[in-house]
Amino acid sequence: MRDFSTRPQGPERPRLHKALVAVAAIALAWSAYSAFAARQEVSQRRATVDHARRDLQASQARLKALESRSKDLALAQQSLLTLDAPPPRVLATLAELMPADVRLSSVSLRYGARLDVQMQVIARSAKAYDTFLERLQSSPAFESVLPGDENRDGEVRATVRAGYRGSVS
Amino acid sequence: MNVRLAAGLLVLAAVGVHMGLTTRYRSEAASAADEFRQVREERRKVAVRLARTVRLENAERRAGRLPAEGERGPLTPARAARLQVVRSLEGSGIERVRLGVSPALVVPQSVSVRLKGEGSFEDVVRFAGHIARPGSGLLLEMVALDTRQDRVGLSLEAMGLGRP
Repeated sequence: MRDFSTRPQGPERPRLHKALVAVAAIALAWSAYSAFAARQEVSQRRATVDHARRDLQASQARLKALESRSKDLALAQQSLLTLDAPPPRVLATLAELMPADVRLSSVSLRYGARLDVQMQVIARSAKAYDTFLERLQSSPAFESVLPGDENRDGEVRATVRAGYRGSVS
Repeated sequence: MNVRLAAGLLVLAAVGVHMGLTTRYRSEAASAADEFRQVREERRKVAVRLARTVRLENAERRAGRLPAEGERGPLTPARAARLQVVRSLEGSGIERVRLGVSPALVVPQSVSVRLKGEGSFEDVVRFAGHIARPGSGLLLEMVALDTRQDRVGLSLEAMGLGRP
């Protein structure tokens, strides 16, 4: 039988309520899942921290043992510099930085806690000397570059001091 | 009415779980991440110091010690150092050599070596690198080169390490 009545139909409340409950249930499920995932993340991060801390403690113990065994630090540093920065290597590094118009009249290398280089530079022009100084100062192989007295009257004669870093750090 | 109440309770439960658990766990995860960053930084610093200490210890070993025995019997550190230098000089091209070896005062069982000579630039540089090669027991203290027309003058000071 078809309903031909003109009485208005009531609002579809039950369907709305069901949707509301469904949305609330989804919200609860999402919230529970988020809590679970956050808990997992905490466990993972704590495990990572524990692992890193164990690693750190092992390294610290090894360092302490090595440092207590090493008797003379200055001697060890001098050994390292002698082996890792022999004169041919230092001079080759210097030569790479020198423009064609620059030469060294003398150079001295002092091996101690660090390797100090002192050189007497002769440059045909002030510009060539400035270029050499710039290259020396920007080179990662040298540190504490200290230009000394210089005579810029025609041919430049100057003293330069620097610390050689090379591969030794 | 009951359905609306149930929906409300579910929403409240969702908010409660979020505020009570998720937020707390996230805060714990964030502090664990901070702690990891601190430990990682500390570990990096220790690794740098460790690598340097290992290199220093290896360098002492690589440098070696002067031999205590020669072909003709026991050697004092001074004799052993002199022999090392004399052998390095053979065929080196270094001329006009003045050599002095004397006991060093700073390090026990060690000797000071002083050498002056001259040669071509290539010979002098090669010799300066060869004399304190790994295993020689000699450590460089000072190397000075100065040009003399077509020759290069060499002045070298080294320390010879005797066996303890």
